[in-house]
Amino acid sequence: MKITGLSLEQAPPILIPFKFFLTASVFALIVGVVMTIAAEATFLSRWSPLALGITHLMTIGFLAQVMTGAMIQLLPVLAGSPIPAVITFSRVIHLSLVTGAPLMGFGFIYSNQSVLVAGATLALFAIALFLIAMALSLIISNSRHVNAIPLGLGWMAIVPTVVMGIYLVMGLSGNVVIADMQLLTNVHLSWGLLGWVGIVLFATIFQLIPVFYVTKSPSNLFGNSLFVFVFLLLVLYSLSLYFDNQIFTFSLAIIIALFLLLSVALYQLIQERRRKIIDMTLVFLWTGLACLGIATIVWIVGDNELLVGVLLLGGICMTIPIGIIYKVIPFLCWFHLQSMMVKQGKLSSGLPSMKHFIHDTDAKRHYLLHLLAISLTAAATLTPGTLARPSGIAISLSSLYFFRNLLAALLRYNRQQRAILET
Amino acid sequence: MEQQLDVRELEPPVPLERILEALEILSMDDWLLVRHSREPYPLYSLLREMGFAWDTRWQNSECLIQIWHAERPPPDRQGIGL
Repeated sequence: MKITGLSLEQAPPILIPFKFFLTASVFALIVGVVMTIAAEATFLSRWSPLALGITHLMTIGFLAQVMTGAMIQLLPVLAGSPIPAVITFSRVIHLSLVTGAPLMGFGFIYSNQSVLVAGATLALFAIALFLIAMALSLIISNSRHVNAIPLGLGWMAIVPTVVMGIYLVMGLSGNVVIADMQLLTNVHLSWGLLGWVGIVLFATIFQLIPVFYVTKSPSNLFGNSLFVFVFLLLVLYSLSLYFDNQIFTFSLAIIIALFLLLSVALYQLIQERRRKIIDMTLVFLWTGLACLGIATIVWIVGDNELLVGVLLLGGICMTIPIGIIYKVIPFLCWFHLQSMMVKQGKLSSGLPSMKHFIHDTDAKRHYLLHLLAISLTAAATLTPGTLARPSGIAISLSSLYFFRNLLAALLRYNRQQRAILET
Repeated sequence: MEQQLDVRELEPPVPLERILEALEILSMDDWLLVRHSREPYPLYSLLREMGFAWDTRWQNSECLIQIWHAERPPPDRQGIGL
């Protein structure tokens, strides 16, 4: 029995996720602007300083911010385990990411090793701090949420990603000698994209879908076991750094197959939802899953690494988090306002619906712009001469629209907050 | 007396709205038994703020939340709880 429980203060202030998501959209805009200026040089090779810079602006500037910002808010809602000292933790994490991402990105682009090392150190600091905060929240709370396992594994995967990343940076600056730079880079990005992003994204979606769309809970296989397999297979794949054996490299193919299996399971879960309404979150999600399928086909055909990269980074790593944000932000706005009403002793809400904060038409317009941006960028890997600059412009416009939708939601929230305080 | 509320098939934020509506009219001697498909963590902070106590248990894949006025003894101490 619990008579003393969570306090309202344990629901993190709503400005925290907004701050993370708004600055993430700014980094996506920076990526678009850099691509517009650099034009076809962006698509020369995945190994070019420019491509590496853009990749890290996207992964640290956009993805890391979106994922840490979302987790800080979702932990109390999904697992009942709020981050301790959340304002201080989130402020330092946000500041470190906001300064680390551009230093890393432009450190790569201008081949400036000291700037790059400074950026990587800040990113490492931010991620380490977030991991400590997340571990503390799970230890302090009484929650023994079973789905914390895949989320924990996903976040653990960022450790080898960052360690290898730092080692690669040291190799680039000549401080250490790396025998096979290409292989180490592949292992680094596999841990990053398949381990960290892949596991955390899928584990989060498998938790959110039953909550927001009232479906049955995923089976233990999809809820936990497959994620553990993915993690173990990544460990196996990493052994290819030391042993030249096909079995280690083959594990990568099995991981891809497992993610396809997870995608099918997710699709089926969504199909079983009580209300068969299709909202923009689902459209973003399905688009992301479709990109995973296309990326797999291109990877098997094996003649366009850049296209695989675009489909993974833009098609999945941007699309799916945007869809999640369009579901989570309206709920958080509603919940925080509801909490405020309760504090004032008003139980019956009379609050606007969740759709008030991000209108369907705005999410739809953003989706169309985003789809255009991803399609143009994917096509630009084939014809960079004509499509490189338009793809950069499309990414910039799509990111600006994302920023606009988030800002509109924040302003609508503030307006409602004022109305509650004035009555 | 026990009041019951089944929110298992409702999408957020409707379950929370329905629970708050039910609590608004819950008399001092009554308690509310909510049948939920998940553990509603965000609800707890609101309950505490509103002066309610609660007890959460899982039964047959259902989350049962018993809510009563905090100044009253828990229903199970009266031999009529979950």
